[in-house]
Amino acid sequence: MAKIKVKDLAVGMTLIADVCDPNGRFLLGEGCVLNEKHLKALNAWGVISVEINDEDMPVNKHSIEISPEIYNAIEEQVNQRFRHNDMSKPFVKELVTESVRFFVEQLRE
Amino acid sequence: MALDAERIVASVLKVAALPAVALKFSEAINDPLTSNQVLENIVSEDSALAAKVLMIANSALFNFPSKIDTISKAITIIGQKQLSQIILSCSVVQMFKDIPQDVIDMEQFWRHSIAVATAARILAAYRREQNIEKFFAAGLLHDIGKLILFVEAPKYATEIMNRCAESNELMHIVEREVLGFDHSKLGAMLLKKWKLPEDVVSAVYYHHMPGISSGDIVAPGTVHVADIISHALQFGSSGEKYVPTLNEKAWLALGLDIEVLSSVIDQLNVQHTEAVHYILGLS
Repeated sequence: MAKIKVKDLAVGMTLIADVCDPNGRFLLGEGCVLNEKHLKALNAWGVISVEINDEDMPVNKHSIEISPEIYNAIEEQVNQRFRHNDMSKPFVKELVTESVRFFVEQLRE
Repeated sequence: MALDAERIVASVLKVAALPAVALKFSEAINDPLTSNQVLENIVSEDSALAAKVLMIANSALFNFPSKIDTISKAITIIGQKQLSQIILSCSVVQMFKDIPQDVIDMEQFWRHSIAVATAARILAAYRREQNIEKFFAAGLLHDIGKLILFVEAPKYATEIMNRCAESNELMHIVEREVLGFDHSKLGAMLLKKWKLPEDVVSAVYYHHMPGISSGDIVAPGTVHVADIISHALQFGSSGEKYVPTLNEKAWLALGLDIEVLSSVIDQLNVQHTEAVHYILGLS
């Protein structure tokens, strides 16, 4: 299972989870094999990312490795900034994980 | 002598009156009988604003095949509600543009405020709220009390900033110690004087303590969570180094699944760039 930006999608990839637009309107179902029309619809409805199979993931995006040192430094910085928060709370935990992912992704781009 | 919040707000009102056009426009779009003609007349009262509206409608974001040359067409292209958000944002940005850059970086400040506004709007959309523009307004204005302090009590504001820079404390806590109140109270008082809707005022008032709001927790809770997300991802800066403490009650009150967070962040990232472009004219 891998999350991919709609702009990186290609025809022939398979969705592995239902896709809704930002207002929760159902658009495409799990298992749908994407064609040109689907890609247009996803863009038009403002969907930003969807989930696809790992093997469908374009290789070049994945192959940019972030060194463990840099990864740790990012994680450390994020943790520092959350010092006034209780890390055991589910929302905080998720936001910390997502923040690290966000900064790593920015670095990749 | 301790500062008096009432007096500060009374004094800032003399320099910071919300332009009539912003209020008139938002009142007008809430009336279902309003036509684009009426809105066009309101926008045209302010020629600088009218020019900006045309510029936005003709910008690459809308990618319209022909030139938009009337305000009425521009309103159709941009959309009434989105335009109302842009007008409000541009008005307040304009109002506080004279605060010196060495005191607080205004571009960073507005980038943060726009992020909170956008995140609040996205969260509200997930909750299928009727009026998501209100959440945008509350997010945009949540820290306006900080600007009031910079304008009316720069000495105190600098003292607070310096203390936060040296210590690990959160800014609104230091404000309460130094002033006896914090920026959320000041901001809410100003917005009340501007006659903004009651729920926008209370969302700003309780954005650091949504749990104690006597009324609805959803509006302040949304701004609270949006603020925390924006701090975590470092979209702009309000002068606060740390991510404010989450009030878990606020998050739970939104009734959203934790899994939406990832999509909220993806959307925020895209929409924030767009909104910054509209409002600050920057990319």
